Formats: sequence, structure tokens, C-alpha cells
Amino acid sequence: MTSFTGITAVANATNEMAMFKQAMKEVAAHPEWMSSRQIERQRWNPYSMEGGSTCAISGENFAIVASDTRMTQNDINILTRDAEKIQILNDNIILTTSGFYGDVLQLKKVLQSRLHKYRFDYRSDMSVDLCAELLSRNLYYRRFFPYYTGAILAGIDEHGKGAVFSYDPIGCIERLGYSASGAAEPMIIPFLDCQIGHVTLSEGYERPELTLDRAISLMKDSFRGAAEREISTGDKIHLVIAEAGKPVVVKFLPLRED
Amino acid sequence: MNAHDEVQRTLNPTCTGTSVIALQYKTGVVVLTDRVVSYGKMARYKNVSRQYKVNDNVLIAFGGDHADFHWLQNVIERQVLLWKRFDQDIGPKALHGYLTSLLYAKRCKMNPVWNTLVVAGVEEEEKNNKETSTPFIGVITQKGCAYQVKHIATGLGAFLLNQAVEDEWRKKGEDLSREEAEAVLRKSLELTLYHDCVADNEFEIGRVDATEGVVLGKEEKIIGDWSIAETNCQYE
Amino acid sequence: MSSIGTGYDLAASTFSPDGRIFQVEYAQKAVDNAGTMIAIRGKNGVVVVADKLISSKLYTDNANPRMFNVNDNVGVAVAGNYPDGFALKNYAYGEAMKWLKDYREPMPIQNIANSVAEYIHIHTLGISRPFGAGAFFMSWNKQTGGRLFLVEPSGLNYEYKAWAVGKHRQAAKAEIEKLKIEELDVNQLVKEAARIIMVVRDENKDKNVQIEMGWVGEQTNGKYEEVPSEVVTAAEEWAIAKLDEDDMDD
Repeated sequence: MTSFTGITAVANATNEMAMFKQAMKEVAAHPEWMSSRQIERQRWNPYSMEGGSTCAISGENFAIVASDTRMTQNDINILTRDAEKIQILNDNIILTTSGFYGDVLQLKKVLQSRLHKYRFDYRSDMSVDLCAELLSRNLYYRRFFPYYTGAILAGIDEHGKGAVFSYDPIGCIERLGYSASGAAEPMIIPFLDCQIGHVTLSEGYERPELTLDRAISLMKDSFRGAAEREISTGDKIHLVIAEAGKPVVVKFLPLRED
Repeated sequence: MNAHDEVQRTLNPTCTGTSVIALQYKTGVVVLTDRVVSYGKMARYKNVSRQYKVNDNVLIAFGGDHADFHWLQNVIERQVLLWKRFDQDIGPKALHGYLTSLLYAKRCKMNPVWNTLVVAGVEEEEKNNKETSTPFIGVITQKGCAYQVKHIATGLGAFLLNQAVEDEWRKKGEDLSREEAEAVLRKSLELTLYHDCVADNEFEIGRVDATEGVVLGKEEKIIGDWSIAETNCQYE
Repeated sequence: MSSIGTGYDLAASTFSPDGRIFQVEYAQKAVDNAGTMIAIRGKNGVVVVADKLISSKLYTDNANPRMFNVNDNVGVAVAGNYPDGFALKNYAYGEAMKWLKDYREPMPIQNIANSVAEYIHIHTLGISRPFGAGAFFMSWNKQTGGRLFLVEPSGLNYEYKAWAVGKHRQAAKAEIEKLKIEELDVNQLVKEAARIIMVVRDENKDKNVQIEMGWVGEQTNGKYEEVPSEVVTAAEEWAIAKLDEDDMDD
């Protein structure tokens, strides 16, 4: 009889210990001070936004790309007035990116190294169509920890025509005639919709052909307009012009600095 | 993420430094940092430098968590030795690039290095020809956002001083002399002292010059003008 | 030579009946037959000198250095099979880096020498070929003064006041013993060391040779450095003059 109670006591003690261990584990895994609300508040945000806008327009035999050169912190503080947001990847591929600048730098580096390897393997430059697909896949690769960027890839395709590819942060891709991304995207797109797409242009108005000169003027107007009304856009327009059969031209044009 | 990340990652900085102010002059860069370590708003330790000499061409100043920077110092020291092994001296551009990748990689692991780094130096364009060396200032935030500038104020200084320093720089541009640049920095510190409650009046100005190399600064002190305090109604 | 092994020298994993490991002894020969290398600890520093054969005029200056930094404070000089020595230096370097990562301070010389010795020793156990190279390690600081270690192909690791390895090691050691090395400062050591290297050379056989020197001491602030070429040249000139003088006396 005595031995029997002894065994139960041991069994109870063992059981109690197991339950205690289990309880400790649960508490350690979900401590009181880490309630979901607090976790949300304390969670460190790996992203930041450096503002700025970029835009690209393609035509029959050209593509132009522009961005401003301002980099901001919290949209109110200018970190630098000459940030590079456009990358000339090769003679006919230009990448322009807005959003989180750390990701912008990384994306640029990834694409550069992939293009470098392509040149090494195939002894020729990648075409813009291929690069567009590559970029899409690279963005989607980080589907669950996205590059926080609005990328636009522009250039001259294999047929000598201007090309603009627009992306969302996780790699949804579309070939368009023109595109914009970044802080002033909602201002630039309607303007270009009207002037290039003629979507919102009233009937009876002149619909001039999109020449390179006209595209450049529209680009300048877009950015001047954006710089007037959007605080994280300004300082300088970084304009890159790619024309079929000609070398890429880079220009810097002044913008508002306030 | 699991429950113990709190104690395994820097998700909140503990002992911190505040602004770094740096400015290019004709043949080099001057960098100002104050010499206090804050624990929250308490001035926890005094007489601690926030500048680290990497080699004769590069100086790094930082804002943010001291412990993280101590770790970084060790990483940098080993990187410098690795270059030395191939008879090379790491330049500011290369180090800036390396640290950018490092900080970005750490942020991608959700384990950030809680520092804003200012890499100051002179980039040797031609071997053994100091005449062609160019001043360099590169900034990296804890999230891996990196850029090059001619002048910079980080931390609270970014809000208070960036424009003031830029205006001063624009007056002379590339022709700014070392003395003028240092004067701008001293004035800037005075401004942070008035507005940034964790800034200190004890500071140092380090510099990297094309001919002299890295010269770490001596401890200096300013008092500032506190006469305005008399008009504060709560002032005793 | 071929008769002494008699089947017990095919791998380092086999002892001979009288307790010798022939492969390790042969590895030692690789050091014994290489160019002379001497290291001397003096009053305020350590100097190492190597006599190197320059087998072609097409090599750039110092194309095959035998002396390296393990870290700022510790130098290594390797004698014997060059690639083996190079591998040893790289291993020492890697260990020093690991130490720096863990302790955030430079690895002390004794730990470097010990870890390299252990590494070499593992290679004498028969798993692979032993190292055909030995390594001098040297350092100087205010607390401990000069220190000099030699790790041999057997994994043996002793600390020395001075030592010589290579072709003319016996003659060189005899020459060193004539000096009062404890009283010589580094600048005198450089000269004497150059003299010893020259005096032990076999004038008929040792042609196209070059002297390489490294030092660490008070005047280098405890940093190991390669001796500047002007200093080496000056030491050589002094040595030649001194040798001529001695000849005259005879």
C-alpha cells in the first residue's frame, strides 16, 4: 500500500514537472509584455522612403528616361540634392527606380552583375526585352520580402523601337508607351495620359505626333509640375536620352530647390 | 522572429551617439562629433570618441548605437588586414561600398546595425600622387541607404543643420579652406547644442587631408551664449 | 639515402622499428637544403635574414618574398619548400584573423606559433604529406622584449635567442655564437646578420643570390616590417668591407 502511494507521488511529481516545463515554454514563447499590439509597435521597420519621382517615355525610335535627383528623409528633410536614381545598364537598357533607396542600390547591383555575366557568357549585350523579363523575375524572387521600389526599365529593343516596361514592387510587368513611378506618379501619369495617350484630351484638339523633341518637352513639363506641388521631388532633372543607333545622352536640368 | 529577438538583435539602441557633421574642403574632409554617450536622454559616459581611424586615408564617424559600432570596428579592422595581405590599402570609396553591402545584408536579416555611418577620406586617384587625390564623404544609414555628399549633418543635425552647412559650403564651394570649414563645424555644433538635448559641448574635429592623411582631433569645448535663458519664465 | 628507409619511409603513418618517422625527416631535409635563413634576437628587437636564390633575371624585385606579416606585430619568415611555406603563412594569417574576431585584439606570438605547430603536427600523423617548410615567428614589445620562435616540419616549436636553418646553418650558428647578441641593437644586428650570411656562403656554388631582411623592434614601434632596401644595401656594403678587412688581417 505504501509503495503504491509512493509511485503515485512520483508519477504526480513527474507530471507536475512536465506541466510546469510546458507552461514555462509557453510563457517564454508568448510573454505577456509581447502582446500582439506591443509587437506591432516595437517591430522594426526595414523600409524607409527616400521620395523622388521617375518617368520614362518611349517613341518610334527613341526612349527617354528622367528622374529628379533629390533624396529625402520623412519627405521633409533633404538628404542630398544629387542622388542617382537612373542607371545606364548598357547602350540600350536604362533602369530607373524610386522608393527605398537601399533596395534601389541593391536592385541596380543585382542587374549589373547579371548583365555582366551575360556579356561574359554570350559575348554580346543583353536586349531590353530579356532584361525586362529578368528584372521581373528578380523582383518576384523577393515576393515575401519585396524590394520596395517602383522600377521602370526603358531602352531600344531589337527592332530599333523605343520600349518602356513598368513594374510594381513584386514584379508585375507591363510594356507601355510611357510610365512614371515614385512620389509624383499620380501627377505625372494623368498629364502624360492627356498629352501622349490623348485619353483625356477633348475632341477637336490637335494630336501632334510624338517626336523626340516633344517627348523631352513633355518630360521637362512633367517634372516642373511635380516639383511645384510635390515636396520630395526637386533639385535637378536627370535626363537620359536613348535613340536607336546613337549613343546614350545624359543631361542635367535645374529644378526648384525648395 | 521569435520571442528572444529582443535580446539577440539590436531592435532598440541602448548607448547612443547623436549627430555627425562633416564637410569637404579644398584638399580634404573635416568631421565633427561630440564626445558623449547617451543612455536614453542621460549623458551616461563622457570623453568617448565617435571617430575611428581606419588607415591613413579613411576616417569613420558614426551616430547611433555604440555597441554596434564597436562590432563594426572589428569587422573593418579585419577587412583592412585582408586588403593589406594583398599589399593594398582600402580607400574610402571601397570601404563605403563594403559597408553599404554589409548594412543592407544585415537589415535584410532583420538584424540591423543601428548606426548612421559617415565615411570620410581622400580617394587616391593615382598611385603616389597626392595632387590628384579627391576628398570623399559617403553616408550610410542603418537600412543600407547610401549616398555621397560634399557636406552632411546626420541625426538631429540633419533637421537642424543640413541647410545651414550647405549654404556655407555653397559660398566658397570647392575652394573652402580648412580653417573656414572647421569654423562652420564649430558654429554648427553650437546650434545642435542649443536644440539637441543629447548633444554635448565637448567635441572633437578629426580631418583627413590629401597630404597629412588622417589627423584625429583633440578634445575641445564650447560654452555658447545662454543669455536667452534669462527670458524663459521657468528659469531660476 | 635510399637504403636507410627500407620500406618504413613510404608514408608518415609508419614508424620505423627504431622509432623514427622517415617522411618527417625527409621533409626536414627540404628545409636543410634550402637557402640559409638566420634569425637573431638582440637588445631591442629581432632581425631575420634569408639568402635567396634568384633563378631568373626576369623576376620582378622581390617576386618571391619569404617574409610576411601575420598581423601588425608578428612577422613570419618561411624556409624550405616555397608553396608549403606560403600555405603555412596563410594558415597563420587565418588563425590571427579568427583571434582578432573573437578577442578583438591581435593574436600573441606564442599562440600563433603554437597553433601553427599543432597544424604542422597533424600533418605528420600520416593523413597527408608533411610540410617541407619551417617558419620563424618574431615579435617585439615593451613588456616581453623580443621573441623568436621556430616551428619545424616535425611540428617542433621552440623559442630561441637566435637560430639558423638551411644549407649553411651549422656555420651560421657558429658565427652567431661568437657575437654578444644580447648587447647588439637592431641596426648592428642587421649588419652582422648580413655579414654572417655572406661569410657562410659557398663562393663557388652560391651565385645569383640575394639577401632579404625583416625586422621588428623598438625602432619600428613593435611593428614587424620588411627592412628597407637602402638599409639592406648599406648592411651588405658594410659586410663586404668588414670581410675584406678580416682578410687583410689574415
